[in-house]
Amino acid sequence: MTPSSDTQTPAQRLLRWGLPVFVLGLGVLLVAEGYRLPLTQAYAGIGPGFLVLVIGLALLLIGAIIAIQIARGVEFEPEETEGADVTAPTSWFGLGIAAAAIILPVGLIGGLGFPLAGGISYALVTRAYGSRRAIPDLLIGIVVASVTWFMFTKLGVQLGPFFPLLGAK
Amino acid sequence: MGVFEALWLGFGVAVQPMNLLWALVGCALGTAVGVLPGIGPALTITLLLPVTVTLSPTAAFIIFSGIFYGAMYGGSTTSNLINTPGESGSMITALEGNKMAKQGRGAAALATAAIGSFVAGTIGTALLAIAAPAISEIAFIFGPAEYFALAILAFTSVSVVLGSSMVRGLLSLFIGLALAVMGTDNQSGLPRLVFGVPELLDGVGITIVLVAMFAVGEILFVASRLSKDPQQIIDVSGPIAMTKEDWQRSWKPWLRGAAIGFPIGVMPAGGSEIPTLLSYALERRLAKHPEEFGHGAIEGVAGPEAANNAAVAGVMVPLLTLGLPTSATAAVMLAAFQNYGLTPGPTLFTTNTELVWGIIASLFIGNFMLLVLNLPMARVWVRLLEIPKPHLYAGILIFSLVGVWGLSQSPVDMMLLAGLGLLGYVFRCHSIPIAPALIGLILGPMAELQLRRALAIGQGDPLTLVSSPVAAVLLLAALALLTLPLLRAMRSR
Repeated sequence: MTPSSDTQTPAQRLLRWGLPVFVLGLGVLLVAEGYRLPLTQAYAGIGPGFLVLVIGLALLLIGAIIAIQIARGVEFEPEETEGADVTAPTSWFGLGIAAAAIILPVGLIGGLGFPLAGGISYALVTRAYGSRRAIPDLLIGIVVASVTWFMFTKLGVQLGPFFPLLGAK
Repeated sequence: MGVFEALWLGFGVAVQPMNLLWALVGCALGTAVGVLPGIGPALTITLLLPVTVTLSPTAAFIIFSGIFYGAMYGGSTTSNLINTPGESGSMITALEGNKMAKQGRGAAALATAAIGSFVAGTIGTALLAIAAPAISEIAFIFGPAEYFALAILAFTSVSVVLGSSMVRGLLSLFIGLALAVMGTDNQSGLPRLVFGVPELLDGVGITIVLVAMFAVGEILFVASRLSKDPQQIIDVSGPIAMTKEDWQRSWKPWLRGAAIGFPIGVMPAGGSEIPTLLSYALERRLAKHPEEFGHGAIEGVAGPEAANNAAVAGVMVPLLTLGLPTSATAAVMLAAFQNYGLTPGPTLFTTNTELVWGIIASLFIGNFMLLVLNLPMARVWVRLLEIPKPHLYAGILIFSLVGVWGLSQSPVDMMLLAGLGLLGYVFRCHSIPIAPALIGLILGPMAELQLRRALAIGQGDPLTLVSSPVAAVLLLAALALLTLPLLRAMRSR
């Protein structure tokens, strides 16, 4: 209920609506899916669509409550976490680089293999956390990912070929 | 079989050299993750799930319980020596323990936390050994309607109690339930929320959700709001021990902390935060020198630290006897049981006697190991905090990738990891608690199955859900939890 919305930029004020929009969208998706599926079933009373519909309706209700709260100026403050300064403005650079470290493996990990793709992600995370030594970080990352690969493969976890670019298994 | 007989059998399992070694591995890992930021017991156990498939269930659960207990010890070390808890149950310790450490009484704070954790953990485990078989007897009368009501009570209590507001708790719960219904419906065989993606037919793996929400969400969140101040670790001089006065001031808070922590841990009210808060408030009221509170009162460390360890033992009761997880870590342990094809619940005590009592016995042993690991070696563990932050979080990402890529080397899994990781980031940005989503995800299928079973038995009559007194009381309790905060809000207007 803090009146800090005056100090926010227009972009920040718009961004606050992201959460209710997301929740309402999710609710619509589930309600539609619930209606598509049979709601009742002989003997059992309720069919596979029933619960999906109920969850969808609940999400719509919660989304609406959150939208009302935001319209009334309730702040959804971020959570206190160790190592994070929640009063600091969001660093979109740090978030973007860290997000890249998580999204890139989707396309890379199959083709490059776990150690190299892991090493790249490792270097990106260190950059997002303020390290500026890209090459050493990348090398450390490849070593860490390779050691992890060997350790977990020994323990029976399948992690794909070691370095597919060289045809190494 | 009596409790002592069963415990004797359990100790026979737990003292086998390999199992002792696993207990040590679990305790050491648990202490380490308790000390480190960004990684907690739930995430650690999740990341170990793929490794433990090659182990026997007994060995795996000895490791997991060691991690669960160990994280509580490790968390208290960090909160005593730097002002930020490594684990959420240790928030209160950060208040008094950190003040004590600044006054040069860090050794006494560490000692009362470790010994108090040991005392309360041992009492809690003893109560677990006594209470669990009795509760599992009662649970034998549970039918589908009762199990459904129990799941509803767990859903509501976790959503209402955890987090800063009920709306956010419920949002988390329903997102978890939405993830739970994805995949093939196991009664009709119809795909739900699959959108034509064959990889989604098996549903979203619990491992992916956990790794994404805990590890990836945390990596993104801290990266976006990186704290610029370096952490100050307070030096502790001298041996970690207590004076006679410290002992006199500590032993009562330890016992009271255990008395508060265990029963609240047993109730489906979610983990160790509430008992620590209650214990702190109680010690403050009973203290001879209440003015010391806020400036480093030893009672304020002794009580809450004892309470959170006793609560961990309490959480094991509904998990083992009813298959009901009441905290994020317990939810992951339930998932691990399911991986082994085991169903925690009353029958576990009769069909897997050695496993259950082996776990309980190893909790006693683990507690003792943790005392030895933490009392003289607290300074060694604190050194873990010297790992530079960029490399710590990058390392956590590597382990997350192992956890998900190791499941089936599927790009769809990696996409889910990224997507749900962003969801975890959004949760943190809005202070939405994660535990209700996990409990929804893990208990959701059970709740739906029991609901449909109950309705099938009652030939579709919804009144069948409240026809037994046990189910009716459980559902009433859930309803009360949901409506009381609303009534209170209305009255205060």
